[in-house]
Amino acid sequence: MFLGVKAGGVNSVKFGGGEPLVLPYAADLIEFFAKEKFDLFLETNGTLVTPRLAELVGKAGGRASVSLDGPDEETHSLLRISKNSFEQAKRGICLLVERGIYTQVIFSIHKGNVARFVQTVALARELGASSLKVNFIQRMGRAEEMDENGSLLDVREFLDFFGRLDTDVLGDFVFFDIPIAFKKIKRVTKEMNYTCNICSVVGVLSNGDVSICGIGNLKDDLVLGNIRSKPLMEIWQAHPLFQDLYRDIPANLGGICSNCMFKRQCLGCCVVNTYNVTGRFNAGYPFCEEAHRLGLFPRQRLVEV
Amino acid sequence: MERFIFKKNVVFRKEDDGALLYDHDTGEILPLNESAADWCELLFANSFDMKAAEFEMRSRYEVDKGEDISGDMDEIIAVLKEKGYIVLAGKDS
Repeated sequence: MFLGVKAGGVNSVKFGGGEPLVLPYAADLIEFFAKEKFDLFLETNGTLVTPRLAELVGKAGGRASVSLDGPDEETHSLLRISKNSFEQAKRGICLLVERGIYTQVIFSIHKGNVARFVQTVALARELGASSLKVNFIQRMGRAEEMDENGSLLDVREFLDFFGRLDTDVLGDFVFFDIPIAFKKIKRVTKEMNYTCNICSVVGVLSNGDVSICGIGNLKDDLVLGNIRSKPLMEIWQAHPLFQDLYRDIPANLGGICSNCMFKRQCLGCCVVNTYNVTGRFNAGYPFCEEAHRLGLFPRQRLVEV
Repeated sequence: MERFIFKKNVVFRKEDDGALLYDHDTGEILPLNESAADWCELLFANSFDMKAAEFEMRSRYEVDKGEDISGDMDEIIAVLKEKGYIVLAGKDS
């Protein structure tokens, strides 16, 4: 499959999950990516990173992101089913960093860890991470349960938190996963190209299902085929949903996105989240719609004010 | 002396830490730092001529008399001209 898509022009692989390193053939796959010179991006919770795996990721010239949701076991474990993963995650980060791999810490922010943000940034720096990304948790998958028990930040709370931080002091080390329309111009200049490449991405799940990205894990209606029954390139090039996506993004983005200056750069931020909420890829991005409804969307970033 | 203005359908938005130029026709966006934003405001939004703009910038940024800042202005004009955000006054389309 990978050789087929490589011949079709694909040259990078995001190896994510769930947790990709639970796959018994994870090491072989990473070795294969290195041999075939795919750009590799590993998304992991860090707990299963071994010296050998780190070595292989290094050989592949890969980059990695590791979840670290707090500066201590108690805070980090709030979101997790398995406890005692904090020390393992830290060890995983160190193994990757030691091999010179660009390693980004992912901090998924919620009500239980927001007060420990600064300490987590300090820990990430201490561990030698290259950067820290703050994720706003979308109401998808397991997060739906968190939403029901009130532990997620809402749009107002997240924007309030973002607005109170002095991003100049945090510097380039901290990156907020928030639509670029909310960022200061200094940041815009640096982050114009940090967008989801949704129009050049295809997701393959561990069971062979094909989807827009990893969303097929959560949304059955976004499973568009299976590589056991059809070549990946064929599904990718022919499925009407992919065609709709490429036709509509960004040209036919609706709602607040249709009037946003950053439409062409942001591409609707996360259109699978939009699909999850609205049933359409090209509706306005729910985060921005809610911000706009609350009067918190920056008016100066609208084309027509 | 040549005078430039923003092309029709270009939106110029000044903010605290710079400005954004947005081209309706192409959907392209160009972020500008604070001083570039000031140059643009003076030259293309407020139609200062180049000498007046330079005088104003010297005063705003307390530039020493000996320091040449006309190079900055020339560079901004060249970049924006090349990217199609400004046109010669009287030739807007």
